[in-house]
Amino acid sequence: MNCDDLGLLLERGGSARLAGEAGANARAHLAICPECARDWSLQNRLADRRVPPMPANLVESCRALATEAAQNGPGRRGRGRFIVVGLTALAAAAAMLAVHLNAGRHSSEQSAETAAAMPPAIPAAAASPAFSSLEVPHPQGEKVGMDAADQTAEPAPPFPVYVAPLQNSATDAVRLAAIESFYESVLQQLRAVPGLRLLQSMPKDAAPGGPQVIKLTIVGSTPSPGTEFTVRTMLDAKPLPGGGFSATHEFIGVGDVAFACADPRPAATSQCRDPVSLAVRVAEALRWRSFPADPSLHKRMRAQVRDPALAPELRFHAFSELASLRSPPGSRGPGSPGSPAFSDPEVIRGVIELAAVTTDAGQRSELWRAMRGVGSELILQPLADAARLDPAAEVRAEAVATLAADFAQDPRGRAALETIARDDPSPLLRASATRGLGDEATWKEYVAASLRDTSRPAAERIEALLLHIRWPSPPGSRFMGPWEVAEAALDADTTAALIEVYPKAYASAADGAKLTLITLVSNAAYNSGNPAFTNLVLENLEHGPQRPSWIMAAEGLLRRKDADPRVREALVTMAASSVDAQFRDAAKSVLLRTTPDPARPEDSPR
Amino acid sequence: MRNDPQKQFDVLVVPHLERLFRVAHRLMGNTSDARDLVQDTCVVACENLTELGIKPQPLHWLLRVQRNLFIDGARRRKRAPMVAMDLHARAARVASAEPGPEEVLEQTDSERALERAFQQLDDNQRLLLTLRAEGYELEEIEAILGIESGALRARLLRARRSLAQRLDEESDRSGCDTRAWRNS
Repeated sequence: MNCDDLGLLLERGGSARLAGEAGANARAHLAICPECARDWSLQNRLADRRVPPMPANLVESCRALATEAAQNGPGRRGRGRFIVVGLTALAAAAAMLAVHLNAGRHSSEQSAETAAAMPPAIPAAAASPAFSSLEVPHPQGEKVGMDAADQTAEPAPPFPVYVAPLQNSATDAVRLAAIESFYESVLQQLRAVPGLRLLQSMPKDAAPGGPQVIKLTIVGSTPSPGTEFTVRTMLDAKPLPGGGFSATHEFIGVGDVAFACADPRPAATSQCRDPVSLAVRVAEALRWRSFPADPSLHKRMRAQVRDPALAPELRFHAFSELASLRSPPGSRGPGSPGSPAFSDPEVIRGVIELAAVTTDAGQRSELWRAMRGVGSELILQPLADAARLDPAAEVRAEAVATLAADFAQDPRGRAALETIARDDPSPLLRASATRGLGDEATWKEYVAASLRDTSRPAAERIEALLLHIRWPSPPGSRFMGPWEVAEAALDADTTAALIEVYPKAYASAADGAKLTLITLVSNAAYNSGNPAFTNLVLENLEHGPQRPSWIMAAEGLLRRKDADPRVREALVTMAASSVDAQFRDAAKSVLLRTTPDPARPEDSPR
Repeated sequence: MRNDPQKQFDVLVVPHLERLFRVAHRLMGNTSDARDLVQDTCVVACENLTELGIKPQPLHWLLRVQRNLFIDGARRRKRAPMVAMDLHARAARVASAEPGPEEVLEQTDSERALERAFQQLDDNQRLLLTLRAEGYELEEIEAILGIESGALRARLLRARRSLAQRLDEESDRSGCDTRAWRNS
């Protein structure tokens, strides 16, 4: 068999199977012809790309279009309708608003990725664990959000926005009206955005040199019976002349028509799930994350962080928004080191004051973490005080890490670290302060001793290692995976202790730490080749929680040159006999992706 | 039935909606745009139910209409380029506590790279590979696209090679993102 014969086999597609003599010939050719093997593999991968089920209501909406077309006669191509209704006062309760950012249009510059932001007033660390590990790459030089030019708070530049007719597939009248109300409220909010010019229709051709139109599509649906409804606001845009934002974003709100909203805060920060509150938050998110830099909005947020008359929740919301502005590539969203928002001394003062008044330890932790990389003199004393005196250990831990990262060479920072290393009631904090002073050996000894100490609860045994992994790396240092970081502190005994304590530590860990642990074990299995880690992957693959994460880990292991055959066997078993169809499909996908071996019969194209 | 467009639509179009949607989703890369494309196809079908009724293979005719709408839409998109990516599964993940396995696996480097590489192909190449990936035989693709079989084979080969090349470029570009998995 030659390349042409193989090509014919490939083209025949669905009827071709690698069986019999022809199959043997094909396998022999694929084994020696990388180009054909690649084509063969690509064909399979394309066929294997997941296509979601057709939306349940598509048939009905197409039928409705058929009726409409029949009534209106040929030539009418419009679909949907521009609905204008009065605002419906619908009861609602706590809200969820997820924001998806996608920098996908930079395909020629950098790979597209996804990040998730969070509902107002909830820091990134509290967002879905599945997202907290995702990085947010963005091209160098991209102008998004506030930058130095925004400091002058010039008027917002004009920009056109087209909102497509509502796509509403609600299955009952109440939720249909709620979605319509949301749509109308978004329009109302947008009309009030400085510089925004709302278009009645999408221009077919953009004027040469003129600004690109931002298109918003709002899709409302009722995915399940009950009272909840989902509104998705999708945005497409191109870079605006002279700078600005270009992205595909998606904002998702889940509303509920059944509960009264009793949240006294303004809609922008409330947790209310009524259509109007959702619309306010979507409009706010659009202004902040999608529309061209709006100096007035940035100015307002900076003012809110500084405003002692405002409730701490509102100030923290403003802080979170400021922190979500562009951070250095590779950073992980709000609170990332060196967020440019914190170059403003007034904002820094506001953050310090906020840290002093908020009673929420999680917020204080986030505030001190966000200050990492700022290095301002203004921070030093309050940071040192927090590191020494904050009643919450988690806050002291973040403050110590920031102190160590930015002020270890400053005599005052050093003195604070020395005090903590000597006097803090928490051995973990004493050890981490010691590390901040440069004593790596003592710290590593502490990490190892903690892991080995079977008299302590599993959560305590593992916490030093988790802190070790999360410790800020020096500026300019190369990226290191979690295992690469961890193994520097571990020897054979402590590695064994880690493997032994893992199940209990996982069971007692918080969500964020759970994800860190899974990532650590997966990364260790792949990079160390230690079969004990592979065993952990296999055990969890078959019986553990978060199985999708373990399927990913197994895929990593299959990519090793010396892949443990048990991993493939486990996936084959899962693909064949898992009671859950999703896992069966997922395992099949992994097997196909990781099997360029043409000898496998399932590699034949469909 | 001939006088009842609704019934005609139910007989001639509805049975094929699932297949239209699958092809549309592969082409557009996301549910929302796929839905739009299918609905546009339905509008055209509604206006031509009589013609559709005499076609021996209504699905092929519908796919051809969908192809034309896709190419037209692509031309418009080129004039005012926009990016559409499938964010829906990710959206669902945020809304639910536990990620679904496909959603997690959707984020694997290789799959993301394949999706990006695929979306960079020209529209006709995407169309060809989509129809093949959906299991349409060469003869069917000939009928749908009106391309003679020799040329079709050559174009399919070029499309696959082009995809492979773009995939290589994607791998090079995203290498730094995956080093945690690949650095040993």
